[in-house]
Amino acid sequence: MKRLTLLILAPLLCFSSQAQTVKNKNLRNSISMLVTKYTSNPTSAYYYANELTVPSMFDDNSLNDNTLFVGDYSITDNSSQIEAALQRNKMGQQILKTILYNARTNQYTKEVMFERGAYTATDNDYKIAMDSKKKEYVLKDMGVWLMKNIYVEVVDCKQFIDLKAETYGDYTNEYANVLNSAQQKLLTGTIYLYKLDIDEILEDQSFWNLIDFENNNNEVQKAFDNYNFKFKKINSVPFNITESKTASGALSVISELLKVDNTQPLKTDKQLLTSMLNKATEKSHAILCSSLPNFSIGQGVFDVHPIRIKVGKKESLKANNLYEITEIVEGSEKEQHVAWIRAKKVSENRFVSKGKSTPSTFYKVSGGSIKKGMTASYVPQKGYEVSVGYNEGSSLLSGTFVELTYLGGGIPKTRVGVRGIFGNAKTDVSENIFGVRDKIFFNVSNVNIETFINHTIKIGFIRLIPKVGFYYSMGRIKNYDEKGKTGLPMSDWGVTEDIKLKSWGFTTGAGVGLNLGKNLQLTFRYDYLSPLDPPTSSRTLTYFAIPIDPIFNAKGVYGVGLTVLGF
Amino acid sequence: MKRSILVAGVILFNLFAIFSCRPAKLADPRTSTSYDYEVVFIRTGVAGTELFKVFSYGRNERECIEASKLNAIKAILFKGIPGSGMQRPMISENGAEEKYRDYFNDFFRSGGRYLNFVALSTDGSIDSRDRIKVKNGKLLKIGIVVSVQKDNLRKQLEDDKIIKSLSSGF
Repeated sequence: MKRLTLLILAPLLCFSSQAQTVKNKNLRNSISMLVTKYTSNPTSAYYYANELTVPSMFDDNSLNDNTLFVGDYSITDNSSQIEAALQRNKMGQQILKTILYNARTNQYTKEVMFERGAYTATDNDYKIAMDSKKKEYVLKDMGVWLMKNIYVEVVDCKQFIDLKAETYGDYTNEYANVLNSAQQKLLTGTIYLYKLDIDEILEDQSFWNLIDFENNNNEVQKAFDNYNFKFKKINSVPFNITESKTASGALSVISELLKVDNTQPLKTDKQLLTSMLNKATEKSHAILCSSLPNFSIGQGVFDVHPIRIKVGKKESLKANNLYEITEIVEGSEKEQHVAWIRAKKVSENRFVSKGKSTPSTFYKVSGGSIKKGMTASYVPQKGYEVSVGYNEGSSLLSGTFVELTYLGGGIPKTRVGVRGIFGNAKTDVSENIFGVRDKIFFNVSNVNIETFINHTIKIGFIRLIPKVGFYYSMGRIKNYDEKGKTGLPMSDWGVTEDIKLKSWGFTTGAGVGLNLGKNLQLTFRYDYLSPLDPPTSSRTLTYFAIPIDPIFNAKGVYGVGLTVLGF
Repeated sequence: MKRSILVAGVILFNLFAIFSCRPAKLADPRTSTSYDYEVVFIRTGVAGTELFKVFSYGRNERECIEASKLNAIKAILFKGIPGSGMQRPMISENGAEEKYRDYFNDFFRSGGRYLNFVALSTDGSIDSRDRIKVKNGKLLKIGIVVSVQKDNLRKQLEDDKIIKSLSSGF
């Protein structure tokens, strides 16, 4: 039973360590990612601070050394110490220098502001700037806007430990031992988001005197070095990341169960910590950045045949991202909904604007007529989907089902799911005994659990969803039907106790999905069962002297379901 | 009797459908003397140009954009644009539009000479904040940035004796 439970959970284990990337805002603010270092360190994560990857939606302000020396470690709260350490370590100066450094002249210069502005500019902004007398200075203003949005993410690790059987409370049981073989590690801590607070000195213009390095003035340099740049705490979020020491934790578990030699090499601490730190930051971004200002694209639909919009990788656009098309209506406070669209072909626009970027292509999911200039807004979607439906067929997998799937971070458009099926199966045994005149069916109340992996393939408006899974079914023969009669008691057969059935094996199948709206999909499914243990009853029944085996082993199950997408 | 009522009902319904589907009434910006547009100064442009954002009305995006080019020139000639170097209209003579009606009809005709002095200062896209559906959804109001060659425009009008040269008074 424990082995079966683990086999059922195996696909979930495969994906449990995959980080979900939820980029819910089009932000293009700059960020530096630091890892804390203490006098006596709770983890060695700070060694790998420079391995952290800044998400593409941010300007990368990584420093040469991304460790932040804090002081003495406190087991309760280190936030005030971290804030003080940011100032003590002159992080403001270090970050501004990365922004103001001009590699061409090997000097710190305000000129780089133009480049930052040009990077931020849309094609329209760029063309207007070039048609203006001030030209690049227009773009500089946009660069200044970015200066007001400089952020620091501080990863404060608390624990980096082995997940052993003791963690589960019983080191003698088989489950715990199997988990031991998977050799998982756990990294815990908190991530803090701070903002470099220079709004005031930008308002009174003193900021420009502070960074006026062009004249090689030592006084300016000294004043800059001595300035106490403050940081404002925006948000914080705890994290808890587990990862297998081997390439595949699930494979380890299965190898252990099947008693097969598993000689996978173990990951080093560097590999583990680098991966876990990145997962922790990726997972936390959506929460951390929820209070940051939206980066407004301000551009509408560029073209309608096909639908094209000038957003792309710079705005973290990904294939299949959902956008809502709206339009401003005079006299109405709220923009009016027009249609839902999804990204099809994502353009590469991560370069400084020259007024000629390639738009990304979208397709319409549902809604009305889309016109040039209408507003396109990104609608964040989370990875969970839920389906309810009904399976028809003479098998233990027949009945009403409820299904929950989760979009894994590993393979694009691939989901891992679990399905519960509860219902009544029916098997026809009439031909075995009486021929067609007297039909006899056995009815079973059944409950099933199935785990699976599916993948979505887009063909126009239709979605083809192949899947593979593993199921475990239990059933109980509750009564039988004769032709024209229902629910006759089993005692008629001389049976005084429940006849139990069980089966387990693999499912392969496919669904065809039709999108009914933004978040609703109608699916027609077919599942083919390959039982490893077919559902036979524990005893043979006899009708008069004729032996009968009620077998619920129909291979195909048809189903129809309604899916709520991405919530 | 019933049949007559039915026929009358169908006719009324059809008339209602026909009139409700008619495009909204819109004055031709080429001949209209009303100022049914808004112009906002954006920046001083390169070599005697000025950048304006012009909000114009039309039945579709193309009409709005074409009207914006024309309205930008009209605003400079007859209205003046606050905040820009063209605060006062280029043609200060009262009733000049009527006096030179034939000239301006030709100047502003479809594909006319006014197009030599105005160009879109965009990549062809419309800012979603500048696209507004008006009058029960039958008209669009779109704002678009245009670049007007005001120096060349002035010279053209001087050559055509519509306005006097700035140096003529000396």
